[in-house]
Amino acid sequence: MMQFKIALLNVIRNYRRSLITLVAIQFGVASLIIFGGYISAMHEGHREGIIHSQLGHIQIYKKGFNDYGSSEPEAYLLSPELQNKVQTAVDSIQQVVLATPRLNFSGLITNGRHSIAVVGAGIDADKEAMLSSSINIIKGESLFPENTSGGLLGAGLVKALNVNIGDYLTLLASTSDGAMNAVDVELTGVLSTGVRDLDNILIRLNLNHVQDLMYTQDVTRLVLMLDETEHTQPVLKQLEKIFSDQELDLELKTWDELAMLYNEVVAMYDSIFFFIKLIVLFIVALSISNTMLMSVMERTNEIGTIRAIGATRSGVVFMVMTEAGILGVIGCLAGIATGYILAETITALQFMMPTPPGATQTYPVRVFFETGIILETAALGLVMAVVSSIYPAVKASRLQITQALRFA
Amino acid sequence: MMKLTRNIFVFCIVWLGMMLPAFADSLTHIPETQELREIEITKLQTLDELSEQQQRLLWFIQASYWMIGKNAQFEQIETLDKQIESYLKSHSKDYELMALRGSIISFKVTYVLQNLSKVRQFGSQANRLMDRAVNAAPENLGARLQRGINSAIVPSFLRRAHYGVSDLSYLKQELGENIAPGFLNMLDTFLALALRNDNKQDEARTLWKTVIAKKDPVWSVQAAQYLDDM
Repeated sequence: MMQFKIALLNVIRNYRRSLITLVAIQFGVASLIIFGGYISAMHEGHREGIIHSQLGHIQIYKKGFNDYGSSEPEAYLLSPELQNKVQTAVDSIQQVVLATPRLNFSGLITNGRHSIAVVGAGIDADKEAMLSSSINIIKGESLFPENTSGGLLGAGLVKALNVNIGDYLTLLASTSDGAMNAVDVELTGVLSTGVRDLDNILIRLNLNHVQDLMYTQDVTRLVLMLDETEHTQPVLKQLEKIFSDQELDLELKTWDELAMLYNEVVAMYDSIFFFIKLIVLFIVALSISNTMLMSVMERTNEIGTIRAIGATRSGVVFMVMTEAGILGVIGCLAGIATGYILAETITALQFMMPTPPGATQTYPVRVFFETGIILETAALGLVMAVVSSIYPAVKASRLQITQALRFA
Repeated sequence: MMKLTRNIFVFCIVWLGMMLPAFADSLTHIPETQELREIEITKLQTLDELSEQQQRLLWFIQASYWMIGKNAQFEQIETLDKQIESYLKSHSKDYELMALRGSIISFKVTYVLQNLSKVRQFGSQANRLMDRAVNAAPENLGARLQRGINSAIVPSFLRRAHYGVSDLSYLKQELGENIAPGFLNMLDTFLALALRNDNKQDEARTLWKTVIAKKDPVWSVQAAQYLDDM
């Protein structure tokens, strides 16, 4: 306790030098908290963006769809009977907000002068509007079930076709038995998914319209939206059990299994964060070590006196490291406070990010102030403070008493 | 952040409440001040039985009162939302009320800003209700006013501003010369906001300058502030 008190008094007595060390720790901790919070916010934004645009939380297909569906899609559709059974099952799970069907197709759309290849989906307009909150209508109106021949086209597609809201187009696609069919489509709205390549080819129509086009009552998949993303795995397990008990020939995919790009982006950002963390910690360690070394050099005479009156080498090491520990604790607390203020300020200012490559939408910068990041960063800051004081502490303990006492 | 967003809602609802009486024939009348709203709510709640019109009026006033009140609880807003949802099941053609429900759900977003999943859920539900109301009854001024202002004030990256432009322009066009000066200034201020968010900065600037020139005690100040922020 006495040694702790001496260390604390040393920190207070040399307040200018302590302040320099504190600022280094504070800067390091605050910058790591902000950068970590920023990465975390980006992950969440990206994750929710993809869930609420195309993927939903869980997708349900006929068994084999993901392996063979691309070459033989008509063989892997969900019949109305199967859809009803799935609907009954998902209705029994409280966390499921909605289940919406999609019938995917590809075809050609023409305005009479130009024809463009499209990929599209027949959707339940009401449910899909709830799920696809990341898909924005940038011109015209949303799609409603009453607009039986209405359609939403991607912004790039509308531009390429040079059409306006209310114009009619002709959509050609193959039916489920391989024949060709065509329907009229009235352009009710222009949509933006945020992904330029997708906006150049995407079309969304009412499910009934696409089923008429393809001569089928089946759908490709049912997409589930849950109340919280964290409920994905528990709901998946419940559904797997129900489907297994009922011997339904289905397969399920969660959003993270489908979002390959998301997983790659997360891995990339995590590695960047790790690298930056290393650099910041190195700078902080260097700064602490330097100021602690200065402190030891300035106090050579004093350390010599302490040793002369009976302090052991380990006692000196402990004293210097305790000083570093005290500075580490105060610096971390100051860093957390600074990190909190900066995180809240940056989020409140709503700076807009530049439009990412290949995207058409921007979004505001957010910085999360997360307990996990705070604890990890604070612990790292404290450990770095103590570890970087080892060399100065050992150097102080090895001073020859006689030489130290003569040091002016 | 949360307070800022809530204040924007409060600001709009206050003025909606103050201006709505000018169009009592086509829009639900909401008392102008919090005190008057409180009196009206108490009066309606003491009645043994409410007619449908009274019940509807109560919801409109409660929505304004709670959203303006600083102590509005999420549970109160949630209950109001559920009551209107239940009513709309048997009155699916009450598009003004449907749009009000959209506004209420949009307001709920301010309570869950830290939960992006909920933000998206409430946001898309609110937008859908307002879009449905306007799509089903494009001539309903109440529905278009609710969606127009909501679309103007939400952040531009949500890309709802074009709805604000079309709805508020429609209101101006439909109301023509019968429009009260204060209400017109409010419409112009929000129309300019929608234009700015729709990347039509020059038109927005011109419109705000027009409002400033009218020296309206509230809207000229507000327009000047928006203009400074550009």
